[in-house]
Amino acid sequence: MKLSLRNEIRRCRPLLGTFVEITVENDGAEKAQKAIDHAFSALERIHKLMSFHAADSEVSKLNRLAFDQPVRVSLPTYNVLKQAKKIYQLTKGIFDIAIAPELMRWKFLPCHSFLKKRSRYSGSTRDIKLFPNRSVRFLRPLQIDLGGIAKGFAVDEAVRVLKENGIKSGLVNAGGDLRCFGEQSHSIWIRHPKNHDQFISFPAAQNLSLATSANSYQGRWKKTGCVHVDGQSRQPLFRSFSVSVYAGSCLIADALTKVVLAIGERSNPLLEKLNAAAFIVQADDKILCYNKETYEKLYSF
Amino acid sequence: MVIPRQFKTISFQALCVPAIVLVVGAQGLAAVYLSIEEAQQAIFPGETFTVVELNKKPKIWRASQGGFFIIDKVIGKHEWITYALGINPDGSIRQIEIMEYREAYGFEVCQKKWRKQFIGKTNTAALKLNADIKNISGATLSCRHVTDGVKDLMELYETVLKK
Repeated sequence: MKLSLRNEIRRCRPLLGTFVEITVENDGAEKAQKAIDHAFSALERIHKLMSFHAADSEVSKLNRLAFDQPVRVSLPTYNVLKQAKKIYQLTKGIFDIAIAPELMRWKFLPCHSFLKKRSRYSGSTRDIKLFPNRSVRFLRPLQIDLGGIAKGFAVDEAVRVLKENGIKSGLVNAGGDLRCFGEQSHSIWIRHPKNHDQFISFPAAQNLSLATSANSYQGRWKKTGCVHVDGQSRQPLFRSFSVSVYAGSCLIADALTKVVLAIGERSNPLLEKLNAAAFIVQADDKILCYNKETYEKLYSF
Repeated sequence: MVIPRQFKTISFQALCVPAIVLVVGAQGLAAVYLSIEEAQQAIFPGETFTVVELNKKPKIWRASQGGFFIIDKVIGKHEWITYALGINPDGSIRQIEIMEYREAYGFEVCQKKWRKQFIGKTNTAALKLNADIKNISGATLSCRHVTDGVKDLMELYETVLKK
């Protein structure tokens, strides 16, 4: 087990609203450089399609039009919506991408002028209808934000592109949602939920995805809301602990962190079903593990 | 400047796999991705660069095929970021690369407190491990300061550099 990439190339770009870092093993600088460029291009495409902030993204188009008429979307957006619906069903609505109205009200998302003002957004992910020809229709007034799932999806895509370009080992980290592949082991650090100049060293990782969610950092709580919302009750999920989820894909890990934030230990059956495990880092330094059996079987070595 | 780093061990409750668990005070944590020359070649491969003299910062170069290469630094809530912006000859953004990322949060506040708390607990084996902290997972950090900085640079391009 090698513990650090001695000969590696590391690049970082501002994308998806955060910093995306790609690290690959350097077996031929030109090949590695090219693969990284392709991976960043893929991330840029996803950013353009799924940004809530950009007025010309597919997400903005859906929010503007999909209640009134069917909107045809690209395959990546369609796939993310499909996954979001699946996770919505599995979590009985705790994970919901139709929480943009709450985030807009709490000023975590911009209130675009092109969006029709409605007194009430009664819809949830359940009311998103997907047609086989990649058309999307909202059956009730609703606004989606893919912030809870798109970064994970983007990381999975970037890893796929790196592999396609002949990279054998590497790591993609999009603002804390990360995935590593290949024989290389990577040391992983989790930022402390309260003192964010502290880092907790987690066991080395190999071939897995890990995503962390937390919202207790200073300035992230406003009086009325926070960046995480319970899809069922539409209440803000003020939490003093952070949640890190290990899973096979980064999309699943990303989405599940919000579910564990919401329901804590009760997420155990779901974690088991999806071959995932969760670590809770509390503000007082205690660490809890949910679905430990899966962690030991699949993610520790 | 040498910055002391401190460690303490904490318990992985309900976790029987033995694991090294450290909490690290990361004052001075930095990630260096690219030098100036590397950033230039990453954005404008094969081109040569001439410095553009301006009275004030940032540092600007003209690339041999007409583009511009600018290095700027932004200060966020708890990070310093040096980044490079490449502008195409037609005035569109070519590429943005982060060159250096430095955590600076709470440096003065924390240093004393940390020292007091962990005197005698510094672990030399761990120090080695800490030499290069990376692969950090946590709440997502915003890159808004960089995107705002890029907007300012594009303004500068429109008003000063474009001819």
